[in-house]
Amino acid sequence: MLDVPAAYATVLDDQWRQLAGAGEWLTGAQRVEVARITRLARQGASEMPADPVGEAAWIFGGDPAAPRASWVDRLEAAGLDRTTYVEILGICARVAALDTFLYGLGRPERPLPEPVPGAPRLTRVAEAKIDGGFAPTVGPAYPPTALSAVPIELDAMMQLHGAMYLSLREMADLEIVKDLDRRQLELVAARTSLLNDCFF
Amino acid sequence: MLRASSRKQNLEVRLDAISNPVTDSGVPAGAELLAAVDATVLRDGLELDDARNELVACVGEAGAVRAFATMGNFEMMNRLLDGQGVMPGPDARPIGDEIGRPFVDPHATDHSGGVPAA
Repeated sequence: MLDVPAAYATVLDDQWRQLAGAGEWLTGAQRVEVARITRLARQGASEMPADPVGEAAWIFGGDPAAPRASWVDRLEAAGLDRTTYVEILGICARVAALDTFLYGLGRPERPLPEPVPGAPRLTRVAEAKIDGGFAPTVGPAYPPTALSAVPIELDAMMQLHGAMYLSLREMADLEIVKDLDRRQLELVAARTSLLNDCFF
Repeated sequence: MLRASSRKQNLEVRLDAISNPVTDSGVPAGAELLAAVDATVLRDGLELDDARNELVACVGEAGAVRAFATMGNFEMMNRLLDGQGVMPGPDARPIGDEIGRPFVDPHATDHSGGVPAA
């Protein structure tokens, strides 16, 4: 078992606090429930929720390479707004990141936070539109814009990305050493992506 | 990025090691890193303690922690990219054939391999 270094622990605390509060389109309680469902799916539980929010959280958790345009169309037809879809995606992706990190260290899973009361902000990003992705993005859909329709999720993702792997600025340095050398980081990234059936 | 970072340093890398971990990737501690990824991402509790210990012996505690953090980061990014249907550029798609995982277009209408549309 390895300890969680202080710099990482601070980020984990920030992420958990952010998860528990009201989001852009979901309440804190809804966000924590999304996290609970995605965690269940990752652990191999067998029954997918019937509602579109629960179904999305389930697929993002347990079958992350499965989304197709036609599936997102179906969720939308069942009442799931595509920007809310982005918020759910951000939550599920971050829970997977944090749980994987702690699992690798040999640490127990962190209990989900207590939801913080409050209303969602309900602010739509005017520039966000469908541009090559399944859901709105600001500019073409590519890694840094995947969550750009929901800025609080984009900010949380960027914090985690910089702390756990490399910041966008660090990514431009192909010779960077950050505890591991760049090739070692990329070997880990590539194998993880392959096991998740993710082309990236 | 693995190929690009290797070329930048004038070093050789075997991309097929990504899909076939018994191949020597040419990356320092590559075998230990790949074993740790497999045990962690596939949640193989029987292998994980040994894989972690061997990784620490090769790259130290800070390196091992970074490796597990990087796995976490890509568990996140994989979900974001596949959940958004982000497409790799045309130049990157042949790499899928090179590592034995051909590119599947998530926007195609045949729904191959994905969640049923109805």
